Amino acid sequence: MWKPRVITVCIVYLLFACSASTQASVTISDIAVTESGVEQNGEFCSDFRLTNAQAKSFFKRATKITPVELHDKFDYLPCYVRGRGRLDGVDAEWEIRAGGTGRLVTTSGQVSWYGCTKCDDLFRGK
Amino acid sequence: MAEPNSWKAEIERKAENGWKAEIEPLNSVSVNNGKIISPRVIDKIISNLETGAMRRVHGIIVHQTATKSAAGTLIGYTGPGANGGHFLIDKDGTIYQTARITQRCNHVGNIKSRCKELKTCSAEEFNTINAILKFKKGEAYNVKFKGKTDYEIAIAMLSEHEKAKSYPNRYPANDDSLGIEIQGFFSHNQITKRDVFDQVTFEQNDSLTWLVRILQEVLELSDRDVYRHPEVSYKAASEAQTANWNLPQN
Repeated sequence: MWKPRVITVCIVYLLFACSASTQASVTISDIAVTESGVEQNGEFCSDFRLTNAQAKSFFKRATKITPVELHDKFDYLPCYVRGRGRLDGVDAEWEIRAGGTGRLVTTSGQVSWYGCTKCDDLFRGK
Repeated sequence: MAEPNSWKAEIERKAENGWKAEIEPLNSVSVNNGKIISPRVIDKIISNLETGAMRRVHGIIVHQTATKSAAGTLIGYTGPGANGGHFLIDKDGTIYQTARITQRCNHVGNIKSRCKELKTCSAEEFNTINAILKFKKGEAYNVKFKGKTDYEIAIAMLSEHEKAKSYPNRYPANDDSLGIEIQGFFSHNQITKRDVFDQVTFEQNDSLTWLVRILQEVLELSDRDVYRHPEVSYKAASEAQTANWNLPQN
């Protein structure tokens, strides 16, 4: 009699654990923008800039995504803002692109990708 | 990670020993109900990828999957809202057909302006495109773009504008192109500080050369109708950069 309930609890736990591991946003401390840039044919987004606070908001609102989600659900735009910060006490470098995507790389070698579908107010063209 | 240009070195080494890609005679390949019938192609049609009949194929888009394994890619194709091409080429060169060539798949995304990229627009068209790309919130826009950044809306509107043109005045889109997916992961190289797709293997390029030639014959397409994904859409420049569909042929 107890087995179905245990199985249900396990399934719910696993679902929660999986979704939490792929969707959690992240808080970066000591965030500082260091550069912005444009790659080939990116004139249309060359005005893309972010302040330190906007960059921090991006990572707070964005969800962690897989490389295939980054490729399939977002455009990889040729304009970016880069900077430094600290994640859980570890130094990190980050990049945010004008299409609402981001990348975080810690000095310990951890690479994470982010996508944000509710950051449009941060990405307002000038 | 594979050495840069490792497949080129492998081709040169094999060519020195008289190697040429095995190109099957076209008369040994047939098409049945949109499926390529050949010992080199494994039928893995996933109806979930097919989104409707495709009347005309104008181009072939070469992609990389950004997944870690072909098995994972195939499982992903069965999920809701899956994107993917008509063929998948595994690391060892195995070719899977994942959608019929008579069916449309979502594999391209927003298309760039061809005349803008090639700098061939008329003055009037150039001004129209630039006006679209300068889109700023506050202007009227389709509600389907709600939540997207100004830049995302601009390129989505540009894509809609381009799709109204006839081929080859625009790049091929989902409605008129086949997608060939090459199995390959996407990662960040911490030494070069670049986002990179896996190097395409020699076996993958060998199969790609064969498959592109067969599809060109069947669909009457030229070399000018074959594109790397970042050429037509806003995608990471390294996608399919090391793909080569012009290996030496027998």
